[in-house]
Amino acid sequence: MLHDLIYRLRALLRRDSMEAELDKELRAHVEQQAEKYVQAGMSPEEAARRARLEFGGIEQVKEDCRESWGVRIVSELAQDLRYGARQLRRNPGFTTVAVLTLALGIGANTAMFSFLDAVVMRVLPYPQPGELVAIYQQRRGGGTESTQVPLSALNVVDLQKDSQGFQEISYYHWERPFLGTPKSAEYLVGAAISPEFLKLLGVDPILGRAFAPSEFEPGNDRVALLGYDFWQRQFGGRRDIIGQTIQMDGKPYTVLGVMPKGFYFVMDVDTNVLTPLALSSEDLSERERSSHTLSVVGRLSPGVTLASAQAEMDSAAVRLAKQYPSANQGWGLKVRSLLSTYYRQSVPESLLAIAAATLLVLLIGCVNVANLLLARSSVRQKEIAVRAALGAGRKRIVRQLLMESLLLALAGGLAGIFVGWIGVDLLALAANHYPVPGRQGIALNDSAFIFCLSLSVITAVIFGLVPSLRATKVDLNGSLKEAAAAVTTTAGRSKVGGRFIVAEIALAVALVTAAGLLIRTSTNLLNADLGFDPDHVLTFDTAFPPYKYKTGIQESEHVEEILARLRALPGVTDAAGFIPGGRLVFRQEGQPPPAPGQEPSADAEAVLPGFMHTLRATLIAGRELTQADTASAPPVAIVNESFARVYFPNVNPVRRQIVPLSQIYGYENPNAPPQPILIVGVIKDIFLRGPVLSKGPRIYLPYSQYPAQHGMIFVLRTAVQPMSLVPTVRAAVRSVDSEVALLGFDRMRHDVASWEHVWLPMTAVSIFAGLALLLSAVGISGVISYSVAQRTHEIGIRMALGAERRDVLRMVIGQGLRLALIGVAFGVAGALALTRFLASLLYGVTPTDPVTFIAVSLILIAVALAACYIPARRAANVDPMTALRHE
Amino acid sequence: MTDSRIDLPQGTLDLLILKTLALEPQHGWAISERIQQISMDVVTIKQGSLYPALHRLERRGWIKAQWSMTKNSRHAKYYELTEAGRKQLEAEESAWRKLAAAVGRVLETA
Repeated sequence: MLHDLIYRLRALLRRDSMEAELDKELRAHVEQQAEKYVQAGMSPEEAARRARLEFGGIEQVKEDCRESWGVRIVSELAQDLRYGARQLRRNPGFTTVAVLTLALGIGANTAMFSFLDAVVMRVLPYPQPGELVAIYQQRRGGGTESTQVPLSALNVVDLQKDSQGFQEISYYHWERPFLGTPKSAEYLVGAAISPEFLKLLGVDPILGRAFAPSEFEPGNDRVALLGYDFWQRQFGGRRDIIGQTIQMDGKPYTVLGVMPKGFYFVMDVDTNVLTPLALSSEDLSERERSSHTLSVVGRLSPGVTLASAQAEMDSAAVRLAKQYPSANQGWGLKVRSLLSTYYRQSVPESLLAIAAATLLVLLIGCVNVANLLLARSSVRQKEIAVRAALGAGRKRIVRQLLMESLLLALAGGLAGIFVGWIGVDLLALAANHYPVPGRQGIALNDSAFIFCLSLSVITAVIFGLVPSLRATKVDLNGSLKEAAAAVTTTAGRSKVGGRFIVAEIALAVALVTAAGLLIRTSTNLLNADLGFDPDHVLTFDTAFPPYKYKTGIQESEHVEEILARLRALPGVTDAAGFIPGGRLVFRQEGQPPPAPGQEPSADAEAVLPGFMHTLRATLIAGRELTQADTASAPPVAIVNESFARVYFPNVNPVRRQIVPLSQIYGYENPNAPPQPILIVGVIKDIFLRGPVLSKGPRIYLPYSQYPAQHGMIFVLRTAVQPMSLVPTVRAAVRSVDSEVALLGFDRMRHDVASWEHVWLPMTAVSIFAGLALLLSAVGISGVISYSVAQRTHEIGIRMALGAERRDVLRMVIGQGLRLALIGVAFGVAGALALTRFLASLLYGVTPTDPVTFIAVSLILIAVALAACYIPARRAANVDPMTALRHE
Repeated sequence: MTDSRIDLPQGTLDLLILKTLALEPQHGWAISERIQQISMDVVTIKQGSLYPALHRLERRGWIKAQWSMTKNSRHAKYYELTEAGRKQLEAEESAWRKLAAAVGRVLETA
């Protein structure tokens, strides 16, 4: 046994000397055999020949001997690897193209996969996240997720009492506390949490301590835990923050601790602050049983399935409905995996479009590499035939070729990881400008790495094996004689190569079409008529601390004051403001009330006087809203053209009245019951958030008549560089009230909002389309070159028989053109089916835009022709005499 | 060469090699020559299987090898039986005799 091992080790480590000995030993045998024949009277040459023949394939014998050494698999793989590497080194052009192709395909996919993984398929940052569930109340029969609501305190307490399959049930409540510091004012993202909440999640503060049970009693609950990023940003990561006081909503809170980095909860933003949720006797009174205020999170006991938890909650819901019918009748309880609440955010189409594009690039890349391998395998048939004649077994040859492909794929995979790494960085950069949820977590992750490697290996196995299997089906004699075989395999080879090219062109057409549509979309967006002049405009948002401003009226007093000071600033020519986000449901005066669900509605905005003028909007009819439209004046409004077109077709809406049918969501209407509103003007549609996001009927109401409590977005028209005014504007606002938060100064880049949702997919898809074009060109060029090389003889004959250069050019280019046309036909058909999925991203161009399709087809054909040109010229320059001698 | 040669049953080649080497150390070519001679050319060893077998036996430690000079002064790899090889040979030989006898009996009576 030991001997065996030592022998094997020697065979591995002293491979060269073993090989030399083997060679010597076998040669000695053949020589001795020859000597025997010489003694029997043969001539030395004859004797040597006969001895060799008798011995048979020396390579095969060596092979069998190596097998006896018991190190065959290891050493042969090493050998095959060395051989493969040598082969790859010998063809630097082929290797570079193949590796780069794979690297781009794999790298892009890895990056995309990591990105989607971070953005879409994130795992919650808690131990055993699969055990975490969210529990909602839901109206019986109400199926959609939007009908899922939080629970009342009493109902949660009852659930906590008799839960079976849960380790723990806890609750929390979202808060947006207002933080006022001497330096700034802002709203935080926070949550008030129940005593068992952090234990249930399995997260502890990294600094300081969690809440003590006594701190969940009303009166002791002025304590807070800070989120890590917030702690860094606001307090410079100072450790002595523990024990200090911060002012939230005008009340002092003592900081107890800091949560770990990356702790976020349910919303995708970093949680700034946690406070204890102290249930008051009021919260726990029966009257409050029907108020849906608390979000509930549970952790299932190990081994409990979602289904059994749901069953438990179903019976609990029945029990609660029986005990407290007034509050719970008709309500069910719904259990959902907390992870699934993340998947709910549908992936933006733009990301899907990019992901699809990356996959297409990978496909094209694979097709290309397959094609290259295929071309090589037929070129190498001779080499393989020689190896087979020397006694290398079929299995060994296949393995060798496979090893080579595998090496290629691994190189591509490794390079791909590098590409992916860069790609992820780029995507993460892009995501910073692009409010995708979970963008903090973007990094090249292990699964992406493995995904990437397996992709490359699968590619290698499939595409490396097919050609190598084909390659070993070589008729030995034929190939050694070389002529006849070449012709038959060329035909077969060209057919397959041609198919590959058709596939490649078709895929490229699909990609380039998508890119074309997106490019047209963004030029349309950039050139869209926005209905206002975005130059020299500064906008910023304000937020008024709710603990100081109880009503919209209080807020509006300060809004007026701020507006007056802004107007007085040097460099400001006009100032106004607006509050977006309202919705008006109405009926037209003098019309019968509409059927429920059929009511006309429009987006509503409350605006300050002079809003239209400040934006330089175009008034089509009637008048602008002015200072005269006060709270006591009759209610008036301005509508946009879309509104007029939809609800007053062929009629001038000015002087018409509409009657609100509900509160304008989010707007306090002091004139209850709603009075009819008189339309006093019509403006051309203005697209403040770009042509996509601000589409549709819109109505503008005087802020004085609808003083909403939502802060105000101010709009300034400036005579100077807009951003240069930020400091003076800030000072002006703070001079009215230092606790008003200012957010998001912007130059009103008109293009930002709409363009943003298309620039990333457009850029990415265009890059990929460019790659696809390049790869297709390489592929076409390769196939045509190969076929020209194969047909040199034939071309020589044709020329000898009087064919002109022109005819040869035409013949070769015709061949390429035929392939290109077939590919384009397939590609257009495919693209027509696929571009529908882009529809939501497009603006001003239909998914089947004929201009784009025709242009793309022409581009592809041009690329194909260009790719054919070089080999065609080579063919035309064939000298008939050399060509005929070529065989 | 001769068409009337017998393909050796699996494992028999090892036995023949060991038996041949039991007489004296020998190199590959001589081993095959000797087996052919003794078996009166009935058994021809395919060169393709002789050397792998030798290497296998060497790996198992039943024979050991060293390079030395032949009578007509050429380098050759000489194999000789080890102690373990001798034991193995005895075991295989008796097993073979039993098998051959049993097969013979069946053939006679059947």
